[in-house]
Amino acid sequence: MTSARTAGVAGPVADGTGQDVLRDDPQQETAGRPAKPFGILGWLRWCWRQLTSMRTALVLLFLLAVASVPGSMLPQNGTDPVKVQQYISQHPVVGPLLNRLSLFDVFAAPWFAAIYLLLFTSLAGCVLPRAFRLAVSARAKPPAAPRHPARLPFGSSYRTALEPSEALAAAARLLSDKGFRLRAGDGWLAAEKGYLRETGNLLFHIALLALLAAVGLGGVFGYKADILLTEGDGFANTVAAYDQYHPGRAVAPGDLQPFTVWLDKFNATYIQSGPLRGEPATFNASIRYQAQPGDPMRHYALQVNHPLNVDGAKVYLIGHGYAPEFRVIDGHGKVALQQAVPFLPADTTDFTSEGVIKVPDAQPKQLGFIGVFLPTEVAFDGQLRSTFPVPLHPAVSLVSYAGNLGLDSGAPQSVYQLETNGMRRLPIEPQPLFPGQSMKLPNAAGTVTFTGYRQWISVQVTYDPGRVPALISAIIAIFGLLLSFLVRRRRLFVRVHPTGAVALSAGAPAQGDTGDTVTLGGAAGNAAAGNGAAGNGAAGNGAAGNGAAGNGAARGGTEVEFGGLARSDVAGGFEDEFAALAMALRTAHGAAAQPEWNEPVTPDESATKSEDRK
Amino acid sequence: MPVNIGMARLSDHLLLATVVIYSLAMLAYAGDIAYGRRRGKATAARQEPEPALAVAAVVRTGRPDPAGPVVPAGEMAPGAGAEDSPTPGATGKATTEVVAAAGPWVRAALALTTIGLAAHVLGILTRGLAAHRVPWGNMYEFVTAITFGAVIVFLALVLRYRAYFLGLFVMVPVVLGLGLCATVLYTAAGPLMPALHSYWIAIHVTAAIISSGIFIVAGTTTVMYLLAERNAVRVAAGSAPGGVMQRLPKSEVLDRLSYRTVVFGFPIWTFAVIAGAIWADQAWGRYWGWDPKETWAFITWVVYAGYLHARATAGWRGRKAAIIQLVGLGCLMFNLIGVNLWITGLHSYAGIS
Amino acid sequence: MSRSPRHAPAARSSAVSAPVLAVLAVLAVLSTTLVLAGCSAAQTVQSGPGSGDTNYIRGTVGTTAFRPGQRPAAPQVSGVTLTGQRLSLSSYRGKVVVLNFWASWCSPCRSEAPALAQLSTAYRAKGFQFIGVNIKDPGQANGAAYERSFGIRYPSLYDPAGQVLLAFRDTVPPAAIPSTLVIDRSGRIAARIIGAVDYTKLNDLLGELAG
Repeated sequence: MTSARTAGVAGPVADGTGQDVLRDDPQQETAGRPAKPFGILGWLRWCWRQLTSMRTALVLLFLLAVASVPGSMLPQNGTDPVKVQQYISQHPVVGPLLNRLSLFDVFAAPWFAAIYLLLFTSLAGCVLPRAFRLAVSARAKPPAAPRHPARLPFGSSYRTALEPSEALAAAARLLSDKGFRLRAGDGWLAAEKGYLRETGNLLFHIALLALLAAVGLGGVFGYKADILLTEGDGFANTVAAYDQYHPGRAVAPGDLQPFTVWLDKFNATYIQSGPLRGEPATFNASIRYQAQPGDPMRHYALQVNHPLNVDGAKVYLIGHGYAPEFRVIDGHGKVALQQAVPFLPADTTDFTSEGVIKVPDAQPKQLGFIGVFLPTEVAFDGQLRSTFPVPLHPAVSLVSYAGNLGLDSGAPQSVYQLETNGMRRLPIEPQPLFPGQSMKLPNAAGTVTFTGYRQWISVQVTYDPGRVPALISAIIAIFGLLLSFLVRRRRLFVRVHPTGAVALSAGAPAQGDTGDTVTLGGAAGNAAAGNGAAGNGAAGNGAAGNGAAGNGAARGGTEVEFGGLARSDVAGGFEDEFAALAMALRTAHGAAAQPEWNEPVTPDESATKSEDRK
Repeated sequence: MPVNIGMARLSDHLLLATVVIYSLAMLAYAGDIAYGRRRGKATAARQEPEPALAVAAVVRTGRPDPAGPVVPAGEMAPGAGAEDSPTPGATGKATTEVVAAAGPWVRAALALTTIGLAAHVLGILTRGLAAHRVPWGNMYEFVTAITFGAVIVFLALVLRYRAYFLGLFVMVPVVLGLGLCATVLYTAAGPLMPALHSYWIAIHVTAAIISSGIFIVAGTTTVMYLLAERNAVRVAAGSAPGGVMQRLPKSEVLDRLSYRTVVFGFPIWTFAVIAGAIWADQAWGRYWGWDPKETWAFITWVVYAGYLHARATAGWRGRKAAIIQLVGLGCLMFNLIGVNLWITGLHSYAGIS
Repeated sequence: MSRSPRHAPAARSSAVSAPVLAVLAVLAVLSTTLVLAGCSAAQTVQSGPGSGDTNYIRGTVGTTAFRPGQRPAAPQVSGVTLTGQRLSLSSYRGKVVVLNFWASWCSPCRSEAPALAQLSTAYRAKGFQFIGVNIKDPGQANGAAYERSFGIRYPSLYDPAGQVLLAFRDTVPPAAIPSTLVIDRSGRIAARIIGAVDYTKLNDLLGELAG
């Protein structure tokens, strides 16, 4: 019977006891039963126990999985806010409702956080007390041997010429050599092995808690920032220099590592021929960086799977694209804009890119252009298309506007979209411009020249102090998992009876066989089937054992009863081990007689079985 | 490096041959179920209710069993153990036992499976050689690898537990998968996308493939378990026992086999998810970003963890736990295939346009 | 509940009972507030440029002023202006320096530019020097056009990578654009304004420092 001392042995894996054990172990079970109606404290205790029960954990676990589903099916604000807006506008009824339920931001939603916080509270509340109990009872001895170990599932009995004490000593030596923890009593020996299983189980669950803590740590003390860099550009790791910045709550602008990165050149190669023509083959960004102002510049080849590690922060290459260069001369003849304008790829197979050029300092009127960049331009059916992502034949086509860009009002605008509300489209048809070509704008509004192109890369800088702790926790979790799956907990019992002319050995088992080992035999059940056979078969076994003992009574010596009990049925193979141990034990005892194997049988066959046997 | 066209074509042909051979093996397994001998069925009246799962090792240890003849390997028949060789608990309730004998049908089926497996592995190998890289970079290659994993796991179970009865049921998804590969999922051999240029592909994807194979086999066993359960209920209610179901092992056997398989696969799947996180950290700047594939891998993990917990919780064993496992398998299949095809995210490496 | 709930025996149905749900709900509410008040993990973050990007960090708009005894010393800042001349902050010791960080395409920067232009001329005689730092603008042409548009006569450092920002990291980092630092005559940072400058407020602030 599972004693309170060794409670908590059942892990996430089937406990072979066959009992209906709630995860709450017997200690808690007896402690919490109130005799009168609950007070507040009683209610709280009941709530806590409900929360930390495995049933609740199961429910929460499934809830977490179910809650993740919409996060993968619906567009999410975190990854693609534009798609979210599209979805809402396409589904005018359902969209806003889903939005209010935070279904477009599932993983940051409070209800999602509530589920996983509850789950981990439940987990912590169950695992930590068990860990304490394990620490306390780590040295606990196995329980006393049952009266008739031979009736256990892997039981057997046989006779040996050794004295009882010698037989017991030999058994103790053998079992302790095999690493069993022993407990000796009067004429019996109990051995248990596999305590590490509970340790592994708890280690796994505690590691999961640590993993969550590490994730939280990273979220609070870490930051993520994005920036788009054109060839020739650079950035310093400061808040104001970024395009996007997502700090954890405890991150102040002064905490950012003071490095600077410059992009010299970006190279992308594509597959030129074959069925995968146009697919990217390699990406390589040559960058220079200095860890602190004043440090020497170092070079690095930034690639997709090779981030730059600088001062604890990591710089990743995320994406790339084209930035055609323009020079805009305004109506007054001054250079109003001269830069490479990043265009975003609309189609990653041929890198047709779209972008917007805003010239807010053009006089007399501000100018704006919506442009398309085609790396390998081909005129096809009157349409301009790009056929290959490499700029073999680059061209740009612009739609021109003049008026008020809306930039002077202070309201933020996207750099990739033009607000044409305050602008008037200029009466000039877009035509493909090749590098070096200009387009003269009507009404002396100016000239725009396509001077060339550069490439840009998008870079993400992350700092996550929880990354390494999370990794360590994950590794420990796997280790604990393996331990809890591979280590099997099993008990062995040996009982010795001196055989002699005394009738005791013949009579006693027959009288004693109705009751005491039934529960044990029943509790063995790592197989659901045939459980009931144990107790019922005891009668037949006792008779069989008796018969043999009775026959051999004249010889003297010791009758050894040996039985094994598996406390988990995970990996199986107990049969082998018990058989081997039985063999070894018998060898150690030099058993001379034929072994009497103990086979529990079903009641209706016991009679025929005994007859068949001998 | 350009693709070796000849090798690529050889790979395609080999995989087509694999489908054919596996289909023939499937027929042979079906033949075994329909016509194969079931020794000991005649002596059913004289024995124990059919015991649990076989560990042939008990008899194969080679230790001299003084009490009776060692039952020769390959001749394990239900009932033989009970009468002749009193190996400990050979018919005990908590023990190992046996399933049908390896008759000629099974031998033919296993031979065909092995030949098919050889063709399968050569097909995968030549694909890798043709493209000069590890051969799992797109959906076509994933599915060929996963089916390969499933067959390997099945054969391992055959070796360890003589689980011939699984043959027909495992071959069905394998043949289906390979058939899909040859038709819908087919993509030409080519280089990997730059994002996949990392040694992590060998670690993360391999672990995912192995554990998928394991879970597929566990799933088919669970399906068989549910059928056996339903049949047992029907028989208990009085209807005549159905032909096919009577020739398969008892439901407890199937349940435990399925459970042990999941137990074997779960740590590998956990490792695959963690390896994926490590790779994501290197490639995308964060180790977990709720990308759809990551999310569904997490969901799959959670469901299988739920299955393991359920099986330890009273009231959830048996059919309920089996359903949970099948839900987990469904999530796994959606993760491997559905996410690639229908949801765009960072993981869209299907290679299918 | 008609009778006091006992510790749930294992054999009962596996459905989650009403009190459990109530407890779960209460705890859910509690943990929700916890989460909102506590940590927020920035996990689901878009990587790479998106079509809605404004490409600058707005920051928390506001003014921080430091009392005379609590002003951190301004760091060394030097560089090249948009017109190609060298400029160093230390050479303006003795004057009050208003250091303004801007970009030509940044909308709030453009909205505050007229105010800055006016105040720069108004306070010039009182020993105030306005200096701009043009960040995130590739090439000098755009910045020069901006200065022309708004009639800005004070010099601006050309700092496309934002390295001047780095210099202020340990003191009073200007964590957004636009942002403005006011450095007093002894070279100590007297105030930081995040967000577009308001004419009246900056006027008052500078008036205090004029003395």
